[in-house]
Amino acid sequence: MPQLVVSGLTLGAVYALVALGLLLIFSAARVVNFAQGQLLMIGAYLAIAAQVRHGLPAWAAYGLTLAAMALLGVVFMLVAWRPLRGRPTHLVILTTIAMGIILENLALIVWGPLPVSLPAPLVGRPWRVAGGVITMQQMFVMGTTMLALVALSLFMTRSRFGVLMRATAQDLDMARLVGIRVDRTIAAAFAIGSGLAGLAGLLVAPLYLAEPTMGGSLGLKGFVVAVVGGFGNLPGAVVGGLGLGLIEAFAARYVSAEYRDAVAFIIMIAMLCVRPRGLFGETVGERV
Amino acid sequence: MLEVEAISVAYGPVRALTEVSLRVAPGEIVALLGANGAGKTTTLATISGLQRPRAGVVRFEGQPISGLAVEAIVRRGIAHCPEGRRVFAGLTVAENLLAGGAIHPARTDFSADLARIYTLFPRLAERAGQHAWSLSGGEQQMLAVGRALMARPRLLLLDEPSLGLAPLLVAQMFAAIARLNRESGLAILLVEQNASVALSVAHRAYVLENGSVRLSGAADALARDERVRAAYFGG
Ligand SMILES: Nc1ncnc2c1ncn2[C@@H]1O[C@H](COP(=O)(O)OP(=O)(O)OP(=O)(O)O)[C@@H](O)[C@H]1O
Ligand SMILES: [Mg+2]
Repeated sequence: MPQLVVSGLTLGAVYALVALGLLLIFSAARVVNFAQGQLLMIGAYLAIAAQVRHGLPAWAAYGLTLAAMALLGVVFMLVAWRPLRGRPTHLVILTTIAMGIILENLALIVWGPLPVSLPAPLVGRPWRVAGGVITMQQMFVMGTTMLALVALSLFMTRSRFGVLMRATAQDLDMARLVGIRVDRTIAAAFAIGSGLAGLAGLLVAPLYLAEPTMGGSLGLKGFVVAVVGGFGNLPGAVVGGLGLGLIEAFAARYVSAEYRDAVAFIIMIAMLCVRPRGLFGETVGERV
Repeated sequence: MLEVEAISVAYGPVRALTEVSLRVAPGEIVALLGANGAGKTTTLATISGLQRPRAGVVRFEGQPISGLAVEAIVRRGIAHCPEGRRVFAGLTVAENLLAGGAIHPARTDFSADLARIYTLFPRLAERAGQHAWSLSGGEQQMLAVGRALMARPRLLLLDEPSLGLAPLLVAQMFAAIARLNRESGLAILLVEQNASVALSVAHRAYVLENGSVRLSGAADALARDERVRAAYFGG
C-alpha cells in the first residue's frame, strides 16, 4: 500500500512536469503543444546519448540535455508557430501534432526501435518510510518536480519577464503596442516548455526504458492533467499529475494492470463532468 | 512633431482612408472627430504601425515611421491607447502598468511614473492588486491610459476614452487628459465621437468623413461651426 503511493506519486510527478511545460508554452503562445510528449522522449534520448554513449558525468549530460532542449524549443517555435502567427489556432495545433510525429520518426531513425536505459544519477540506499521504500531516483523525481513548480510560479508572477509573457498570451497585438517583443517572449516560453519536457525525459528514463513511442501517452496524460488542474493553474497541474499517478498505481493493483489507463481516464473524465473548469479553474479569464 | 501626409489605407478591397493629412505640434491636444466608420481608428492604427498605408507617409520628429514595426514605433515615443481599452484582463492593475513599461530596460525605476499615474487616477492605486477583469469600465479606461503613460511617450494616441462611461466619469477622464497635457506638455491625438467634450479640451481638431478630412481648424472655431454643430452636437 505505501509502495503504491510512492510509485504513483513518482509517475505522477512526471505527468506534472509534462503538464507544466504545456502550460508554460500556452501561457505565452496560446497554443496547446501536442508534441510535448515527443519532446520528453527526445530529452530522454539526448541524456542517454550524452551519458551512456559519450560517457559524460551525469551532471554534464543533464546540463547539456536541458540546454539542447531549450534550443530545440526555439527551433520548434520558429518552425511550428512563427509561420502561422495570426492564423486559426487549430492549424497551429495540427502543426504541433505533425511535429510530434516527425520527432518520433526521427528518433526511430537515429536511435532505433529498441528500448534503452539510462543509469540513475544518484546511487544510494533506498529509504524506508512508513512501511514503504523510496529509492533515491524517486526522491529526485518528486523533489525536482516540486522545485520546478515553485520556480515557475515565482517566475510567472514575480519576474517582469513572466508578466510580459502572460501579457503576450492575453492580447498579442496589445502586447506589441506596449512594445513587448513578442517573438522573444514566445521563443522563451517554448524554450522553457521544451526544457521542462527534457527534464521530465531525463528523470523518467532511469525509471522506465526510453523508446521512440514513449511520448504519445505521456503527452496525452500531461494534457489531461493540465485540463483537470484547471488549465492555466500551475499548482493545479501538479496536483492533477500526482492524482493521476496515484489513480493509475491503485487501478493497476486493484482493478487491472491492462486497464489502468482506461480507469484513470474514466475517473478524469468524470471529474471534468463534475467540475468542467477543472479542480482549480477560476471563474473568469485568469490564466497564467 | 507628428506629420501624417496624404495617407491612404484599405482593408482588402474596402477603402478606409483617402489621402488623410494631419499634424500634431509639441504640447498640443488635437481632436480627431467623425461619425461611425469615418476612419478615426484606422488613422491611429496607421500611425502606431498596426496598419500600413497604401500611399502617403507618417513622420514623427522629422523621421518617417510608416514602415516601422509596431514595437519599434512605441520605442520612438508614441503610445497608442486603443479603442475598447484592451487591458490585459488576467493581469493585475500593477502588472498591467508594469507591462506598459515594457520598452524600458529591465531594472528601470518606475516609482515616479506610478506616483504620477496614481495621482491622476487614485482609483487605480486602490485597486493595484486586483485583476483587470474585475474593474469597472471606467477603471479599465483609466488603466489603459495609465498603461500607455508607462512608456513615457512624447505623443499619446487616445481612441475614444469616453466610450461607454457615465457622464461623471467622462468629465473626470477629460480633466485628466487636460491635466496631463498642461503639466507635462504631452502631445495628444484624441479620437472622439463625443465632439463637444473633445473640443472643450483640444486646441485644434480635424473632422473625418468617409475616410477624408472634411474640416479642420481651431477647436473653439469648430465648436461654433454650424456644420459641426449640425452633424455632431445632435442639431
Ligand atoms: N478590420 C477591418 N476589416 C475591414 N474593414 C474595416 C476593418 N476595420 C475597419 N474597417 C472599415 O474601415 C472604415 C473605417 O473604420 P474605422 O474603424 O477606422 O472607423 P472609426 O471612425 O474608428 O469608427 P468608430 O467610430 O465606429 O470607431 C469603416 O468603413 C470600417 O467598416
Ligand atoms: Mg473607432
